[in-house]
Amino acid sequence: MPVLLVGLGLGLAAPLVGALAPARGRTLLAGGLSAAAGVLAAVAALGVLLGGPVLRARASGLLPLAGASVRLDALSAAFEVAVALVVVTAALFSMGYTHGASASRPATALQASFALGLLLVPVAGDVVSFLWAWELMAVASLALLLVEHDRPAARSAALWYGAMTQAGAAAIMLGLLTLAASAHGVSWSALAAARVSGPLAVVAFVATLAGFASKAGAVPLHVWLPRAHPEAATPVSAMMSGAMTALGLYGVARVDLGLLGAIGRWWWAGALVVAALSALYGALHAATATDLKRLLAYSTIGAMGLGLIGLAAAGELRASGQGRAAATLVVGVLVLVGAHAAYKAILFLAAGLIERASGTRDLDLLGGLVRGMPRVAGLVAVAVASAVGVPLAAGFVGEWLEIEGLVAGLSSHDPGGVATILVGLVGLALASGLVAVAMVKLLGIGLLGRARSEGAARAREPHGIAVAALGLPAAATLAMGLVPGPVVAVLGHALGTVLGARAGAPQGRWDALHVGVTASTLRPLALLGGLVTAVVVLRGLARVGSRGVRAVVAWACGRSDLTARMQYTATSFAEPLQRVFADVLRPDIDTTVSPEEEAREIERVIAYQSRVGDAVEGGLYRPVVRGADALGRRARALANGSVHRYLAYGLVALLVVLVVVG
Amino acid sequence: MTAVAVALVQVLVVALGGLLLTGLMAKVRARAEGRVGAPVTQPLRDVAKWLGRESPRATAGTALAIVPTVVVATTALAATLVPLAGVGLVDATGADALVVVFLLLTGSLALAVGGLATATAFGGMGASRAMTLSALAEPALLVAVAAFAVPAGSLSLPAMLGHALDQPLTMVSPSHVLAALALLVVVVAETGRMPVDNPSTHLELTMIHEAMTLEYGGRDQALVSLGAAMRLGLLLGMLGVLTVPWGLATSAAPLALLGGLALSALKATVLAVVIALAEVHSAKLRLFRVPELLAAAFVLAALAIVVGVVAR
Repeated sequence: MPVLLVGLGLGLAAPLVGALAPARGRTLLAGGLSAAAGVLAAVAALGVLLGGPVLRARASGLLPLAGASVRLDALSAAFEVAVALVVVTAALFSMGYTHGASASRPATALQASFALGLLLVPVAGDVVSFLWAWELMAVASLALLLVEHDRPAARSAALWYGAMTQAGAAAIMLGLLTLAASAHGVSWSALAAARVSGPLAVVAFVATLAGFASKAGAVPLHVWLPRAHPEAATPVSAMMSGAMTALGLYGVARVDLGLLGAIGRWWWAGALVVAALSALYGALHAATATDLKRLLAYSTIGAMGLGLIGLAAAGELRASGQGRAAATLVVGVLVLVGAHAAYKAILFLAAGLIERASGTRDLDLLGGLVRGMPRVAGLVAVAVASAVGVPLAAGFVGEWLEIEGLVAGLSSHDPGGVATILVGLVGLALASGLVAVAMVKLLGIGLLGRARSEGAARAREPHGIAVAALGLPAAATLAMGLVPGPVVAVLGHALGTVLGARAGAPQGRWDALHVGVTASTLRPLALLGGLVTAVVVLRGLARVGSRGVRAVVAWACGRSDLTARMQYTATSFAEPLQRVFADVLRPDIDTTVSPEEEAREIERVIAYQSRVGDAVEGGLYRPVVRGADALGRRARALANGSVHRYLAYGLVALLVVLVVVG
Repeated sequence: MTAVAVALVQVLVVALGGLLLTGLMAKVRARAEGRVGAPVTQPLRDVAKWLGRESPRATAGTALAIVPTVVVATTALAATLVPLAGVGLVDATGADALVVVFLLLTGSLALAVGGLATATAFGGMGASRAMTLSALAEPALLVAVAAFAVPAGSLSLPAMLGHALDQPLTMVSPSHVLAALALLVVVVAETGRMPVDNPSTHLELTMIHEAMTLEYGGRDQALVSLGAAMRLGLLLGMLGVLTVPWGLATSAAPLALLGGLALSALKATVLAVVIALAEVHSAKLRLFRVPELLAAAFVLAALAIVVGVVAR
């Protein structure tokens, strides 16, 4: 317990130091404190995961209404470790990276507050503390977007983000207060004891699911995410993408599965369809995006969609009596959350380094970075391997568990349930295929090949902690991928909170991972052994009778005057896919032909422009925004500046109140 | 010990068999078109010849150097996991169908990354096309494999095949036939055969797989070709045993294992001949029509799962 409280205390000190310390050493001090807070929180959480007692603390006078309370059970701990990994990495990274406007007093204090909010959400022990922590996280990140308020893109992103996050928070508050109203007390355990059912449970379920899913970027509530994540400062976007979205899944696991899981299976079936659509939508946009950070933001929507598929399918399966398959799915989602936190932290922070070194984050202008930034390229390769599901990296373990759970559900289910779970499986499969395209594009176009601009050619990686910090999530990725057994074994402790039972939890030993329901085993170390053997044999063969390697000019079908502009770009790479999915993506394609002045039949310049906007935003949100705008303009007629009229309004209002009350 | 020996033998059989099947398919096509064609052993001789040459590499850097090794190593590892000889062995490495699918995916992603690393227009074009198709083919492969797994309730390949051997009637069920058709379409796409890709094209603009590998030479070329051949052999072998598992050894007796392996090779050969004959009579699909074919495979696999459950 003391470890956790000291950690949170340090986390609380970080914003104060950020606000008070002089410019010299401000980022070092605040970053160091945030990192220390994350490390201590992770240590406490690991203690709980390894079988330690649930940690509880209360301070009754700290917050109005119910006081503040802290509760660290196994579910909290699983998410706390993932969040802490991102927070520590981002804090260490910003010690070497942040300067200029992002190192101002407000920005430093806000970033530390955001980190504190992220660490507090999973350990909040009751509804009131949870809502405070949630708002701290939301408001701090919103304000961080406004640090660069001189850029119109950042202002617009902040507006969207502010509206969506506050609407989401209101929905969560509505749902949680509905629950709390029928329970004795506001702590999670009191809510669990109340066993709310009937229409109230449905209200609470829909409201909280909408709020949490919006935080996790589920379609159609995702519109803020691809705007906000790319516009934030780099460490902030890493924390938003790797940690904050994951807390949306935490909410679904804790409240919707843990407290309201008994709700009818068809509600979960509906959630599963939404989850599958959002996984697909995010992955598809990631595959066609050309802005590095926008690609990453959309791939976050895809990855969180995979997590939501797992949780929704677990809800459906448990409601129809297949708790063992559900247990596999939930553990799979927890692994996926950890894997995503690690690889997305690497990718976003590396994107920041690349943007700073080359002056652009447009993939069409990058390329060849592996020469100037070899260490960053290696770290990105590890993250990409995890994201696409290369066996031996963490992402694969999560996907593996999730597919095992889905297949287990499929093989012992009634036809209606099979149709539902099948939606999840197809969504997961297609989304992972599309994410692979996005990640190959990131690696192949962004880092390999030849530089497509001056900036990319000159890009050099910085020395020091900014790059070294990325080694932490990279190590976590490989460790989880190679030795997933112990990780999965300890994550099984969280099942009691989520599903109420631990039956069917995947078992882990140090060298193997076993899923009982499908009788399948994963032995990553044996796979590694096989792979190393194969490589050694191939390398050995290469020595025998080899005549070596010679550096040559690329053959390129006989052309020797290749320029960098003849390579495929991110746009052309994704063009076939954009065509295949044109109905979903609705790209704007403009071809302008400008002829010669003297001879109109000769074309001088052909300009091709293709832009993929967000179809959901255009179709669903624009009309609402326009309607609200029109209503506002109409309402102006009511306020014409005449004091007499305003007095009349007051009088009428008073009369109405009196009539209604009387 | 037997398991390790069988795994090693499987790698050799898949490597040799893949090369010979590639040659056989070319021979069958040639004969069907009224030509004599190159001998069946031609791919084997080509690989042996390239192995003795020096490797010209266009761009300095590690990407191009490791891609051929990655392709062969992942395919070889996958070849150890598919029970081509028998299902009764001690499961040493975790013979899970998902691991096989994702190992093959790793190989194709590595090839695509290599295509982009060459910094040439053709490399990028091949990578772009291959990834567009792979984005649909890999998921279809996953769902098709799941369709075979659902009746057994397990994604472990020995369990899946053992279940089918125990209940031979499932092999003629509509759901099994649908799943087999889906897997067949996917295998054709994944191995770059007609009507998806033309393995013997000489026109760069129509290439998919070959466009990514244009810049390899010498030993690198040998490994890339070997990887593609192993992929063909493995996928055909897998299609064969999943569709008709009869003949797989259920014990660890060496003779039964040898028989099982021989029978698997025979099934793959039959499939190869059938695909080659079908290739003669089909034209290559326009690139943007291939997704429709793969979507059909998707629907077949999903139908297989649903039909199987309804009939249960």
